[in-house]
Amino acid sequence: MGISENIELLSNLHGATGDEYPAAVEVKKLFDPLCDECSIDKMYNVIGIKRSKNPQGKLMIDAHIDEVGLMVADIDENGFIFFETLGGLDSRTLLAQEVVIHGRRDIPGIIGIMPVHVLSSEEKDKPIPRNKMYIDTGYSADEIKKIVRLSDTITLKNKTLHLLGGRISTKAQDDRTSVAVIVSVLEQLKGVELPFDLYVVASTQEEEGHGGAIVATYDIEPDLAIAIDVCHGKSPDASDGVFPMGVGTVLAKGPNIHPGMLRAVTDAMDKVGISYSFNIHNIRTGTNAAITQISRCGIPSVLFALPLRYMHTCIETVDVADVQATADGITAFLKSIEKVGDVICY
Amino acid sequence: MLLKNLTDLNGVSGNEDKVREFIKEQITPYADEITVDTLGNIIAFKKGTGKSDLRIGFCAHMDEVGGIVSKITDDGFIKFKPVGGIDDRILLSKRVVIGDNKIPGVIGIKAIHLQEDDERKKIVKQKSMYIDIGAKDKEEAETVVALGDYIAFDSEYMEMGEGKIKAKALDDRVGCAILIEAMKHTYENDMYFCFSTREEIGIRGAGVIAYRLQLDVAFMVEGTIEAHLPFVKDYDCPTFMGRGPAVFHIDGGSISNKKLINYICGLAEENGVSYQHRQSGAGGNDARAFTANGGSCATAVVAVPCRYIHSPVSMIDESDYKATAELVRLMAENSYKLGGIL
Repeated sequence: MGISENIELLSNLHGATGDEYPAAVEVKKLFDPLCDECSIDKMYNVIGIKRSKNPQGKLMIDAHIDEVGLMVADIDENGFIFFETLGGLDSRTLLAQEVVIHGRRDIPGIIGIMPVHVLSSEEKDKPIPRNKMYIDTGYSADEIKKIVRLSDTITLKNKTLHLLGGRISTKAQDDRTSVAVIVSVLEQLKGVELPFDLYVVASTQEEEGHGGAIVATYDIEPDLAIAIDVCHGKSPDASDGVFPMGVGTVLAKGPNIHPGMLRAVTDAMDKVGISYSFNIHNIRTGTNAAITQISRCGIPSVLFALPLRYMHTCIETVDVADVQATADGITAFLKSIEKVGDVICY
Repeated sequence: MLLKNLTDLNGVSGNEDKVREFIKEQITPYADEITVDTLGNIIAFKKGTGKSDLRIGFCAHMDEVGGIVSKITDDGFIKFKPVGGIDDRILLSKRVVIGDNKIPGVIGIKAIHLQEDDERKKIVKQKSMYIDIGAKDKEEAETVVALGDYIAFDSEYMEMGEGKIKAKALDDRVGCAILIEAMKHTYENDMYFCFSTREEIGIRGAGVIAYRLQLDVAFMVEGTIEAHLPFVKDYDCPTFMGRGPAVFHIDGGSISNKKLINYICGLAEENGVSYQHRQSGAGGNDARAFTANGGSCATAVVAVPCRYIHSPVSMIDESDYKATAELVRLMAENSYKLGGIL
């Protein structure tokens, strides 16, 4: 399958932070034929290994499979569900949104809205706070309580839109589209002998404390780590800290990133003519690269990022060309490594 | 699935063509004469089996709220104006389709990470919103979208919960569905079944129907505000889902004829159809046009309670839909008696 098909397949999976097992099972199916070994650990991380005949070490690539979502906090006497958030959601994007509640079975719901005529003029001019929002399932309290328990997770209902110019709008691209990048890298490395064991990790719980990556990195103890995540794509209402869509991948630069390893990455990409831009982070990044860098005795880490618009909504939008460029850049870097030790020299 | 077919069609006010074509096709076997006027209203005449003392009609509107393309920016984003009353707050992160070719787009907002604290506390006004269709620039956008293209919510009909239906445009395709069903029966009195346009932008279509027909009695069949929701006091709730058709007494544009109200409620009671009185004067509907443009026309309104009205995720109870259809049929069936009543 091509990258677009994988993006669609992955975004259609449901896996709010902490409830990723069903998604992990599907991701394992993508990794299995491309890896020598693949397993799901107790955190529901999916870990695939592509073995080397003469490994000089281990290189780990991480992308996270959890998505932002909601969690059932209360059910009122008329069956309306009140919720908490999992990950950072702008509550203003939630009104009149369709959701899927992952109870004893999946059921649809709607985040309701009070009609304007019952609001005071003051209320009309303000966003509705999250704790005044509720989900309407069309079930009475008695019936809904048979299906839904407190703390069940809720995800945004999905529909993948193929926009102009190979752009795709769909939920959970943060960060499952990076899993599609990993799959593309593995496909490009079919039959390629690398001087290191390659570990690919689809990690969990990133949106609430990076739990999956913490455990996976400690467990694998890699010599080099690549994190793939998303950065902000340029839109009419955002000009700072955003990146143009469709012009390539974005590499993080700054204290969270190993300078020698980054140099090796850019050298490899320059050599084959893959363009990139830099996103300058003066502190730790908000990604799993922040975790891998200080795991155990420290692991040289770089971060590739995909420009993505409308992050943490059900309409996250990427340009497939950027996704492909990221996969090609990572592949070029992996192929360029002759000695693992060379990469990590300052 | 009449209601599914009707709600899945797009017919934003002024662009009801697809809905009109579908309804015409549905009612042709049951109408003696169908007229489409210059505003695109459908007026279907059904000859009665007996003598008609009064000129009697029913009206439901075909149009739905949505938007219209007002500008294409240099970087390929679509600016738009609302068509009909939409709460700005429901628009963010919604999927839409633009124009007859249904070009998909999304109403974006910059990520929460990029919002300053004070920005998060404010409503994003519709004027500052934009639709992303993936275009790289204006030139690419113009290959698929033109100024004046209509924009509809991308939301499909879905059955959910205990007998609930979610769809866009339930206001007032549910009324259209009920009138289509009603036309399949025969009545003693001659009957006009009207499907109006442009109701949502200030009741523009029904006036010319009223002027043309000069009815004695006009019944509106609507979807109306329901608010039996958390944080809403019962006395603020115009109608209640699951309690049957709502009979209007007054709304923002008309006052129902008392004798017609008694006629409708009497029929419901005699025939065991549960109904409710609408408790609020908010909102307007085509009755205003019949009152104002129709000579001495007595009007009344019955409606299906519709939750989250004017949003992509409106919800009705199927039992209310069926009960309203039953009541409307009874209203038509017994209308030959209205000469004596009025």
